Amino acid sequence: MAILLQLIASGLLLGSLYSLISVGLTLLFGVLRLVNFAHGEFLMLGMYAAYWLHQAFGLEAYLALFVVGPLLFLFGLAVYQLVIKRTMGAPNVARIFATVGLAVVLQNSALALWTGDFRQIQSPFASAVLRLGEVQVNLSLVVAFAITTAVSLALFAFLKWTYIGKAIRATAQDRGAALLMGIDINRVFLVTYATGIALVGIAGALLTPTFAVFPAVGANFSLVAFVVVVLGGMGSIPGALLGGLIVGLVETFSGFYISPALKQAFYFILFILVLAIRPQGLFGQRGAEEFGFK
Amino acid sequence: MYAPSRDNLVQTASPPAAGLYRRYYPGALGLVGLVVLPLAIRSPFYQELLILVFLYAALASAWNLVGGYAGQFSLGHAAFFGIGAYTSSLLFVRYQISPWAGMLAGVALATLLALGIGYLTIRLRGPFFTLATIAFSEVLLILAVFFRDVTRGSEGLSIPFTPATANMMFHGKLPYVYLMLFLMLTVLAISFWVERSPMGYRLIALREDEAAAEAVGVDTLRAKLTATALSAALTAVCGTFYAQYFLWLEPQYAFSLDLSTQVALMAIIGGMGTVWGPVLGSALIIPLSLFLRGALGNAHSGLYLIIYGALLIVVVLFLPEGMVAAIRHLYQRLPGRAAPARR
Amino acid sequence: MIRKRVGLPRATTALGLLATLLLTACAAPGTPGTSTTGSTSGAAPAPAGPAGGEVRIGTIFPLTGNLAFGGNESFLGTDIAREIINERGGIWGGKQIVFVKADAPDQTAATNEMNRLITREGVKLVIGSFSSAIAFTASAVAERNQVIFWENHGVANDIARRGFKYLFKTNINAAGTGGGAAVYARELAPKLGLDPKSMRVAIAWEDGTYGTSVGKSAAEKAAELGLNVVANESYNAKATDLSSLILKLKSLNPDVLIVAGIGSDAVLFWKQARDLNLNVKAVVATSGGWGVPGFAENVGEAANGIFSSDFPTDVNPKALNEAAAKLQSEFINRFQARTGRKPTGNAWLAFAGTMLLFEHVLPRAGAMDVEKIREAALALDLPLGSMVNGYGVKFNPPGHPEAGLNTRSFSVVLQWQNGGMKVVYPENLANSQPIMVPLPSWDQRQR
Repeated sequence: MAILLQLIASGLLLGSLYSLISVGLTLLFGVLRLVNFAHGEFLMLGMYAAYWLHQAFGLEAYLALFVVGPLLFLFGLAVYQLVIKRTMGAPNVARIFATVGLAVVLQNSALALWTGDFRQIQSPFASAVLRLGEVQVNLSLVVAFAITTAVSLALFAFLKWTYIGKAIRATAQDRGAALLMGIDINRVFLVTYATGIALVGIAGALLTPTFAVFPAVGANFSLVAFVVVVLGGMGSIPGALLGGLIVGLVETFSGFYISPALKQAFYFILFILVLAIRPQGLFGQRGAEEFGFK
Repeated sequence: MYAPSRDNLVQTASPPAAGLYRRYYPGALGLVGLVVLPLAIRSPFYQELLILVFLYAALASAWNLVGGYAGQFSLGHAAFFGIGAYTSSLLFVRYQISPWAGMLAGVALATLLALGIGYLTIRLRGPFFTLATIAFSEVLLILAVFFRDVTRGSEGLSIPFTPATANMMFHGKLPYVYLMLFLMLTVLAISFWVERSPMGYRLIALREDEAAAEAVGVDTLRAKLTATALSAALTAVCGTFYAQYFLWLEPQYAFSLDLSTQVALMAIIGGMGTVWGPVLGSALIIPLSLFLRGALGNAHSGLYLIIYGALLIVVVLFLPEGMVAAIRHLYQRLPGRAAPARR
Repeated sequence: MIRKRVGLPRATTALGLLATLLLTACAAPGTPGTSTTGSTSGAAPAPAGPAGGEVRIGTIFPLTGNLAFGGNESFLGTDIAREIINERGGIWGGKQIVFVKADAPDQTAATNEMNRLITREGVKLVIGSFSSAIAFTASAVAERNQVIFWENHGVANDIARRGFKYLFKTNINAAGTGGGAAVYARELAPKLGLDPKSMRVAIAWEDGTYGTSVGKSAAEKAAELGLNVVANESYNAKATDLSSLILKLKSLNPDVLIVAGIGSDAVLFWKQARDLNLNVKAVVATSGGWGVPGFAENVGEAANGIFSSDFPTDVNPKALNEAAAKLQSEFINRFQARTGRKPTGNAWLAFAGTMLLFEHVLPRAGAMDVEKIREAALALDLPLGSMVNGYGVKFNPPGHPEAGLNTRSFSVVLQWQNGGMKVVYPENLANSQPIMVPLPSWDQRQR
């Protein structure tokens, strides 16, 4: 029984990290119809930003995220204007490969600037352990869980009640109609893209107490983020949250009961099964997968 | 459905036939050039360059059948590549079965897998299909690492160098150049045939508008499965050829997303859904990455990749439909040419 | 699909751009007189010696991609050897050594780059390579072209088991480091007050080339020694979470843990072992991610007490001959000047193996002649303590099942003490005594 509770706790905390990483991705997916293969690299930039803020000013990762978020937002604006905007009318494959090129540039710029060494923040949170009976969890993961929830609520409120949020939702649902209603679609895309990048940057900052950062770290997280997004239904924020938790649980349980070496295979298999049975994902709009992105 | 055959085209000698006739000229010349070219090259470095260009052109062309013509954008072709490479190599290393026979076993396995994947993912479009193919190849990667008693896992499978035609191994690089050239031409011939066959029309129809294609009676399920199976089978053959040249396999390369991405990239840069696009793409990307690494590898770590990535972005931004489309466009705008006949 | 027409000016520009780029890329390295070589450290080019001429030697390491951390570290060790030799006046009557640097992030790149080094740059000798996977492929190309491949790192057992004539491997195999971990675990049993036959040993290893060969060797040696192995688990080094592995190990209640990690996975493993309260009486790691400075930087105090069956680092100078002892401090100083920290096991291997080549092999060969270099290397018979990391030199002759392997290489056991790594075993090389045996439980430690 104790082990069961422990597995659930570990799985949920891991899953919440996946959720947070995936929220930004699902936004880009849903609104811009963009499969962002550079997502992991933006996460890596967020981690480096938090790391350097900590090294330079002693800023705790949980405070750094208030700087990293805006920083990555600005970076996202620039990347959108320079690259993504120009791909908006292009065939889907060209857009995918623009982000692949971006990923190559970002990862190797990090290597050129900061070498391939592993770097990690020493944080009092990262070494504190909470114990509840037989179950023990790392404090930094609990904090990350709380922040994930807070960020998601804030995002939800932003989309629900602000004008630009409403415009973003309208664009996600029907681009043509949104245009007819006088929504400045380009601006919506710009803001959405930058918001998505800022969100993954925040996720990066939150990871630094737990994970070491190095230029290729993004790849470890990006595939799982895709799984989460599609599992939850693309463009769905509650879907990304739930999808992350499910993947976390699947990974922890299959790793314990079957084999740690195979645990990644299980969430990929789950992913394929979901696509085969309920292709729109858990919260996705029905039929999205049939139309694809044109 | 109307299928143009060479005979009736020549007989009627109508303007489009003359155009087609003229269009075969450069192809035939190019072919002769390709067969003669390797004889002129002595440097093993350039011989290897040719080997890689031909091999990747074959891979990209095989991918193009499903990715380009059918519009099913797969990023999981490493799965078929790895199956082909590992099947023939394991049969050879463990049971001394000739890779030529092992290749057929690999083709059979890859085709079966392709049909399975195709069946499960047939309803998926766009990114959903793409991500599902990635998931498949990742699962195979994990399994290939895990079942190390069979595959030798990450320790890698080393194929002993025992040159003989039956073993698909040769002294020197020149035989490999021709082997890969043969492979590429075979895949190209199949692409050429598919493009002009009823199946090609069905594929293009379903790529452009699946609902409309179904409405006019195209069995889209069957067309897609056929294309996927053919593409997978050819990719598996490439896997065997790769293994017999490099003589060393590890799951982290043979089943990698990087490999899938690189192959798709070549087809896209060159021009998806065209016969020559993948060849152009391979002939551009392979030398470019090799020379960039050679010229700038001495400089700061990663610099050549930054330039490579930036170039990649520039190319897809300016030539989103690939080089073939751009060249065709330029050609049609040449002074003295009639208005574009196509599109 | 709605397709945009490519505008003529844009298409022309892009095609023109591409053509120019290709032309310049093709022309630049091949043009006679333009050398793509140069000072590899990015500093000013090395001054040509008065006697004129330079000696061109290839290096191949993974300088980008996942293994970049180790590749660059190893290259640095190699480069410091070049720097020292050139400052001493070079070799062969004042010729300066120049590296032709190649980057091989994966095995296909390794083959391409080896071909470039050999056929375009014309090098006869290549030093590598940090990674076992790259050592495998690169040495195969060298063998086919009859070029010397000087491997200072790759630990996979099979590298030197292919009957190669032109491969020299200066360091110990996985059988040495992995097997050494099992041997040391057995040594620890009486100190832990346990019977080796009943002591519960768990083995966990990352499933890449490195971890697999080391983990397998450890498991084989443990079986041979009759240890009670209760778990033999693999995991993916790219995993973002190892809690299920830790919990699985914990449920088996091991006394001693043998671990093979390659990079940041080691940090994650140990942090989660602490979080989930996995208590063992000893940890014997096998170099890799557990033995790099980043490990202690990242896990902090928790590193202390961990053993690592590892490559020798700054061994007790008393075990070295006079020249090697002098070189030892010189290397540490130079490495610290360049990076601000102490060299890792891999940097030591790179430096020691390259110095051996430059000081003992090339001078005897007298010229860049592949057969003479082979003869000079095979003729070497140096006692233990001749190389800067304590190794001696005696390469297995051709025809031997492990031809080209240095038989006087060995692994040592290091231990993290006060944030640094000390040599604790064998006795004659030790520069410290083992501490924290048995390892205190997490509750007793300051977290």
